[in-house]
Amino acid sequence: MNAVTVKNLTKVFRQGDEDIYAVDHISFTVAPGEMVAIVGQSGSGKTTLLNLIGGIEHPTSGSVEVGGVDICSSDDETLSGMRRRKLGYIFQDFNLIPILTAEENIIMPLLLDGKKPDKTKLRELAGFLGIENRLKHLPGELSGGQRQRVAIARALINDPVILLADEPTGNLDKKAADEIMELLLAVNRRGNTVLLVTHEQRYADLCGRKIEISDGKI
Amino acid sequence: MTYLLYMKRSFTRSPHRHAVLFAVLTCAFLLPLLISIYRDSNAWGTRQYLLARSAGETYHIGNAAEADVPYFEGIRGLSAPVYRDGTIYLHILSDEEWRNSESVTVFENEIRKRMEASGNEALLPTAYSYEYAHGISTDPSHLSGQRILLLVNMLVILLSVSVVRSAYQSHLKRFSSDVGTLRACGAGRRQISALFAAELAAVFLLAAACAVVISVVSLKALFTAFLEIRHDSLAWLIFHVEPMNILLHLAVFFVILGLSLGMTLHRYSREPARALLNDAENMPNVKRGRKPLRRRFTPAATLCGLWRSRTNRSLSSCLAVSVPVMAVFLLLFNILTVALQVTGAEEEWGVKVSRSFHGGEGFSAEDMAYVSALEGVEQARPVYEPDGYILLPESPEEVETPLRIRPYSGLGAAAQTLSKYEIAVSRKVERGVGDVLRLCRAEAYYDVNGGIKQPAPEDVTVLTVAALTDTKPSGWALDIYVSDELYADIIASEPATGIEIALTDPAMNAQVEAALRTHFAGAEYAVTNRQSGADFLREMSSGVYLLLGYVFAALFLFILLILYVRLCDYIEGNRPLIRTLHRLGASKRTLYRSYIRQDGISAAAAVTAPFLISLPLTALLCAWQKAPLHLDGGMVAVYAALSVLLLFTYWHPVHRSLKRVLRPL
Repeated sequence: MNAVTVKNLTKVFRQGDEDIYAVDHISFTVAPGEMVAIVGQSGSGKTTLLNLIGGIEHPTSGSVEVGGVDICSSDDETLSGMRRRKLGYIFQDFNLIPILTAEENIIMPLLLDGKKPDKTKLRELAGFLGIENRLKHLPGELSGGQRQRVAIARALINDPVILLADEPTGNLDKKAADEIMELLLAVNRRGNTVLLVTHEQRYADLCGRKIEISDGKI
Repeated sequence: MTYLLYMKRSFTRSPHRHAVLFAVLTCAFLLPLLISIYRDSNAWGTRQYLLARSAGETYHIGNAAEADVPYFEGIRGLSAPVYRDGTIYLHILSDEEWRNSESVTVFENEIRKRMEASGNEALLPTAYSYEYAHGISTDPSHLSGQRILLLVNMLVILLSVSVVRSAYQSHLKRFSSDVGTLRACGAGRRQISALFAAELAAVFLLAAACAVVISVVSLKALFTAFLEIRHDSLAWLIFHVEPMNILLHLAVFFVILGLSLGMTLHRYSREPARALLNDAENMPNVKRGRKPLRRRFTPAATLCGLWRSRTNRSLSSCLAVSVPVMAVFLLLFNILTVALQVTGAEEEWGVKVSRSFHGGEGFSAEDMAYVSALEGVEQARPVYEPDGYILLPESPEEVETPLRIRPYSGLGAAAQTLSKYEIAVSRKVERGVGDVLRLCRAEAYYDVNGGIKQPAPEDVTVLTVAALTDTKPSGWALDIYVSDELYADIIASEPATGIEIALTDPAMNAQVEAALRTHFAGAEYAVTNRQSGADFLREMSSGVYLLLGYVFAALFLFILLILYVRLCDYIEGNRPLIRTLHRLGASKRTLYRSYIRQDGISAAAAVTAPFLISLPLTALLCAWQKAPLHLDGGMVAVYAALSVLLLFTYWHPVHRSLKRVLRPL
């Protein structure tokens, strides 16, 4: 069974009288344990495609299956459960909750799922990502690289089927970006499936497969 | 043209925001204006009352005929006498002499001589002080009432100003990106200030005009219908608006809003334009939560706990506004309800006719029969208020004490029985249990020439103070409460000095009063209509009740708007958090429930706290005033209606904002 199956996926935005095809009849699959880079220029539809796979946006037509479950026909409750249990999301602007410490940010998906946080797993994950001494800090007290590490830890805490990373290095300097990329590769080596959206060719080259997207088409 | 263009864009782009600001400003102006107009009307009415009573003259000589006028001519320092409707009016020409008590006494002696010279024994002089005749109230209760109204007015201004300032700053925050855009386009600080000042002026003028019109029209209607009522053909509350006071109120608000605008724009001018364009960077500094994040029974409860421990400031501020206002209102409502029930009670003996005791004459059996036969009279009873007695001085250096003699059993809850020559006095006078007092008839003490003589031993009754009462001393005479046995002896030799009348229907009071005034027309008679006084008080209380209800309605609308703005801002401010949590897997329902739960806890506190504060205070007040605490269906219905309204006020903005924020997710 594929980790992700995308079939004839289309997303149309209406702008005045004009229809804009952000994603135009795209189909592909991602095998478990694979690391796939989605590359393309700004406005090509990369982030929209990732949002459709993550269930954050609803497609105009087509289907997306994650771990064998069709997410296009699901309601908000099912989709939310899916995001909590099967998907891990990493954003360009980190999307950490400013009123929570790093540790609280990491365990938030577990709390949203009504699960008791596993302290051992938290410490193991923090050690793997190199943020074990930053867990009690607020996001505002962390550097960009540290914030993105916290975001990765939050995405991994629920053992997701697939990790969706939307330009995770976009807001970081080169050194921190390289470190984050190394971490994502390490995550993939641990067995996690990773779908990486980037416009940097050198990072795309590090992934096992590249999907190039232009004007919403592969 | 640029200002108009920006304002047009600004108003059309976010009409909702401007409408809320307009409503907040209108309510904020309305509240102090209502109190100010009531205060002005109270002062004006009292002034008119004093002027109408005194007619601006020092002396009124009643029961006069036109033939008496020449006797009062040519008094040096006094105006020429003016005769009108059976009264001669005179006033002291010099204000300084009018204010001087010694010169007033000289004038009074001169008038007394002229009265004697006229030979008209019915002439009845009345003198008015300079202040009274010029409409200046010296009544302590009126002055303290005015001071309290001024204090309340200032407190309401303070409350309104602080809320208006906060609402306006919140409004400006919404337009911070406009400031950023204008600066990015090269607009100078002065140009930006002028744009916002023009917008403020437009909203301010519109809100001020609306508030003035609403307050003047509504209070005029309320005064006409309830408050401007006449007692003894005079009203002491007359609708009056002091334009200067209105302008002063509006000026205070304008200055505060102007300063608020200036300070906000000054702050914006020190920030980079990019920071103003980016809302996220405008978020206040986050502080570390004191309580750790805990997992609860449901994800919604977990999130609710998170909001309550980290982002509850907006809701706390809503409570800080609504709880004190509601508690004060409910307390006033309770007090007024109790007062209305007390003042609304019918007088048992509604009308009384009295006769002065001079000459030893009182009411005869024929008088009693006449009164009993009047239409509207259910029962008539004679009243004996013997005032022809004094207490003899203890030593030659002291003077005699005038007395009012009352039966001890008339106090109702008499704690003990008195033997015949035992008496009770108020514990507030300088007499104690065991003191011996000597009672004597006045004519046995004064001789016919106004001098003093030694009373015969048989005219003196020795009394002993045996009990103390909680009654209030009358001031001019000592009240003594004697045994029923001694009282019976005293009144046996006295004529009835008054007749008290129980009415068949309280509405008959005016008719009975008119009949009594016609029958007992002499100057020695006085008719007291207690029922009319009670009716006046009841009507007045109803008016004040309505006024309070009206002020509270405006206040409630004001609070509603404040809560609406704050709660909407709170949810809007949490939009990034909500979006992040939704991306992390929190369903819309979980997010909605978490916020509604947080809101519900605050709403429950907002509903219960004012009742828990106001009810015990009302009970205490009732116990202190020895008034019964009524909790009838009407009051419970008002409480329930207010609770529902308050719950709705808390729920609706959060619900509406959440729907708006969650819909695009």
